[in-house]
Amino acid sequence: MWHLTIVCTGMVITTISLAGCLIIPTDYYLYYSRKNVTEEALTGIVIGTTTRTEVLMKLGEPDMASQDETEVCYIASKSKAALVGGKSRDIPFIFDYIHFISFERNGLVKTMRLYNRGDDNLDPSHLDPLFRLGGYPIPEPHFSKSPIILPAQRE
Amino acid sequence: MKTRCVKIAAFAVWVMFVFGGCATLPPVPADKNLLNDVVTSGTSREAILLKLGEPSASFESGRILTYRIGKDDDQGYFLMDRLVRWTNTKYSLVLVFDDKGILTKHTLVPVR
Repeated sequence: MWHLTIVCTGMVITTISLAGCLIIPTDYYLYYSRKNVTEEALTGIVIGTTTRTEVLMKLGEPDMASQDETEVCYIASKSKAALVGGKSRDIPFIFDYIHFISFERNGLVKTMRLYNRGDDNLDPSHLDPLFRLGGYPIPEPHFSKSPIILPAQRE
Repeated sequence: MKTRCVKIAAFAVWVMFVFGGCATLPPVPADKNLLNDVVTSGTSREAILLKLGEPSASFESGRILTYRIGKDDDQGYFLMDRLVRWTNTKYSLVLVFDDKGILTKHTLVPVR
């Protein structure tokens, strides 16, 4: 009986290995990603009416911002599939949902766009704002230091 | 001899599994009162900077400051660095000041 079990187990392993890769659909935010930039969260933002202050108070600190603060990005990263076997770099199973918001000089919302990096149908030129803003921050896990204590006032 | 080696190896693996659960990360310095004196209208920007330190971002020439805040259910709040994106970060604290540097609006935005 154990001989049959070993043979069957070996056949299953061989089948999976020879298949190249097994993809299991998933849907969860990655450990370093924010979760508050959903479609529902953006419904209260109105072009030409909502101010930059109101956007920050609603969504919090953006992940990227231009030097002149007329463009901000909020990025949520999700895993849409888990890969078993095969080359992980050949299959884009992590999607970045990039909410790009631009403002007029007076601080009112000018445009809002949602980009999905990881989508093969995405026009690369749509990611130009990200390259202007300097790319991605580095997700190195470490803890913040204690608050900075200013030196005592000199008399 | 071979049987004895296998038994020793199995015992070692068992010990690793049993005591592996005891491994813990060093506790994060947290404070339940970190935000008590901060999120009060009328607080000056200087007082907030003295208590919380450098913000993770600022906008409109310092009129808006943001901090990344983590939270431990037992220990309280702690500050997080923006380099880790939102790892271990629960909230984005947004502080809005008037022209004189006095806090007028604030909000703790849940991000995770």
